[in-house]
Amino acid sequence: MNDIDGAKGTEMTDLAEKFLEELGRRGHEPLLTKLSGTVRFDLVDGSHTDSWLVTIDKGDVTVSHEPAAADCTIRGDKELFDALAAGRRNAVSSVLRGALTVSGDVELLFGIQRIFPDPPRESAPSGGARSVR
Amino acid sequence: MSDELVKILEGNTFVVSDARGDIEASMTDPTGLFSFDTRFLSKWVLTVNGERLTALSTDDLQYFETRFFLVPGTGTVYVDAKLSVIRQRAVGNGFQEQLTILNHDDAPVDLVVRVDADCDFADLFEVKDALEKKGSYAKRVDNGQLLLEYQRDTFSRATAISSSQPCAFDENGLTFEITVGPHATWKTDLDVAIELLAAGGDGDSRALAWQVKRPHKNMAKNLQRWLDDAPRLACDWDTLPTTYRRSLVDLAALRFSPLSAGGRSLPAAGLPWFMTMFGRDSIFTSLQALPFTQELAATTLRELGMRQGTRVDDFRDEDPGRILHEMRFGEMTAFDERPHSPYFGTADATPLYVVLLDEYERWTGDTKLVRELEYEARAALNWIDEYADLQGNGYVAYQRRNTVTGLENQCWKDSWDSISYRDGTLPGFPRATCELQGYAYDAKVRGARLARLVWHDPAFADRLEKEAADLKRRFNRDYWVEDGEYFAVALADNGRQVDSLTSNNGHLLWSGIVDKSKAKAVARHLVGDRLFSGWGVRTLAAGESRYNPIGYHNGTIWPFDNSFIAWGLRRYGFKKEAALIATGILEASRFFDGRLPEAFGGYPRSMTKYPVQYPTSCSPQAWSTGAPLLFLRTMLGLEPVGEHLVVDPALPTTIGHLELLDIPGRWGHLDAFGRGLIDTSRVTHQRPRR
Repeated sequence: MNDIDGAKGTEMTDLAEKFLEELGRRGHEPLLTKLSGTVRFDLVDGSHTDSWLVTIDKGDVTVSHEPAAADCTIRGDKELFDALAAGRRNAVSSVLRGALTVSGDVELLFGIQRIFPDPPRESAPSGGARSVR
Repeated sequence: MSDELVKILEGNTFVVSDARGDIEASMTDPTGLFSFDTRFLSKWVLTVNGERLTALSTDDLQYFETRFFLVPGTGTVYVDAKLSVIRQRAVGNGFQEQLTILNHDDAPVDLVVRVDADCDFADLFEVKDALEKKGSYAKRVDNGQLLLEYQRDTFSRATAISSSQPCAFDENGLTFEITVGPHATWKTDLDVAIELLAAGGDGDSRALAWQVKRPHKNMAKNLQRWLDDAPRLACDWDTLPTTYRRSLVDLAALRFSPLSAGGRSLPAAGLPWFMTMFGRDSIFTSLQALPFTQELAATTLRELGMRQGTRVDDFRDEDPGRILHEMRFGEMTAFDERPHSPYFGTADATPLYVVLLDEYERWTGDTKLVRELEYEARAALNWIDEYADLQGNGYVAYQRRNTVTGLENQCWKDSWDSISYRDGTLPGFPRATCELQGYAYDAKVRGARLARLVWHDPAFADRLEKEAADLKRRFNRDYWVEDGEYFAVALADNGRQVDSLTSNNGHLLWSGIVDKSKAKAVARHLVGDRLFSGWGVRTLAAGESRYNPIGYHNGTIWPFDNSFIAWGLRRYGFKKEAALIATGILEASRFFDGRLPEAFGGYPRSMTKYPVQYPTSCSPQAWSTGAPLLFLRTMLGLEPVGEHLVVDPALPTTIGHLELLDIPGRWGHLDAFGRGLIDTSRVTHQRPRR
């Protein structure tokens, strides 16, 4: 098994919400420059679904907390979104696993998944750390 | 029964069966219906009145379609030749099979026709490594179809089997009880459909579900258009047109349309097991094919750019700016048991990405795409300096951070013992192989051209050119093996030259990193007895400790490798030497019906008389398919210069007259003509002094 699964169980709450709020404050995100459209994240917590709408205009990002119609909707458990926001899970493998479901424009999915952060580096890798110059 | 396996495919969906059309896969046996790196059918066995059938013949109609002619019975003498059975099968979303039974008798016949079906939903990686499944299976008959299902947590995959004629379904297959009249024909259409990622968005052409299940229509027409659009070739040597046509058809079969590409295609690495995006293979093949088709390069650049690394992720060997190595869609990838979502462990794809972007612009003049991918190209150039300098000496090196499922050798010679000293010992990691420095040099030089021309950033261009010049100067000092007069294959972790003589020297010529004063010695080696077999250039020179004419990267000859070596020789003005290598490999193609294998043996041509194929499961392979195309470019001396196409032929006498008509590019379409004047038997390839 890998590093990512080993990081489970850490107490983390509302990471997804914090991540989305922070994304909204970024204003412009260079990794999204080629994208324009709306992406809705549906965070499912039991019977409750919390929806966030991310509007991208050539990399200019605004985020609102509302269940509006979107070009691409990405739905999954809130717990999974927290893990994505912490870099403990990977969005593409989560889609393949069916843990995230995607409807609408799939290019927006591949585009927006680039903004999720690095996985935590809990131990120094056994080799290949990049040189410090 | 014949051991011959029959393969058909479309995109990443393919069927491997025996010559009867039957599938009886075990967990470790690579037959079945595969799609998105998952097996969707592991059993598909036809019986008539309880008896298996015998194949009379198999017709490979197209790469996506085949026809099996069968008779009942398995004896050596036909038990009942009064019936014929035809299975015609085409790959689409799953596959469709038309089953036809002809009664040749004067009397009607009652038949029980049975198809047994089952599925293990194995991941390709599980087939390769014989691993156990972790999920649960279900089978049900529902709404006129047999559903085979697999579930592990949220991961679900299913196969749905249905028939146009009424039949009785049970959990293990379907049964037809029929009467076929005298001299009559009975037919049914069987449909084997695959289900994955089925969430929502039906009818939306941008949706994931649609991308997975998009209709596969008019494949025959599509193939014809592909062939019609390619430049036309005519020449006096009959081997070349055959090989050229084979390459075009195989390249069509190797087209793969990634999710998100909206139906546009890039070259996958190989058929059938490598029908997916590979950074290195997709880029090299796009480069080879540029004078013939440019859409493959454009899609490769867009799709690899969209998946460029953005994080430091040790499991995936990902860094910001790094171009991916391999993408997979199976269960093990989905559960992070394999890192291929995508995996980034290659050191050459990132500089080669910039090389392809520049070469693409030179052919097409498509500055729009170059502007669109400015961010990605800059990130790739940044990766070279920021993340690839693992030895801390300014050279590109590699060492995996995923030590469990990551790749050890992250260059094209990726087998465990491919990089060795003359005495056979293996260097430690990180390793800085020589061709990576060439690619990095070329990326900087080409990146500078794009920065000046398209991005209007002369300061960045100046910086890149300065870095390139500095890299070239250091490289020619640090990698040059004085007593052999060639470049070392690598610098080891301890800074030592890994001093064996390898084909990598040819890639260095291609990249332009070689000092003019050293080029002649390098060229002499490439056509000398130790590297050149008479057919082509060996991966590792005869005389080195690990040399073995059938060693995967230690003595075999790779057509792809040779196509870039010839391009490199041509770049430094060694026209005759380039023609010698092109002729050797193209002559070898005759022994493979025009389909060059991944590699063949490095035995001297004078010893074997024919090229000995290296056993491999992957054929055709994209960059072998692309090799004849690049050889044509090299021999004709095709070079885009400004808005023009320069043609400067240097052809072997073997070819005689050659014409290539309607070469597409920024000039519209142009024709190239040449006459063979080089007697390759007179090109000297005596052993250079050591």
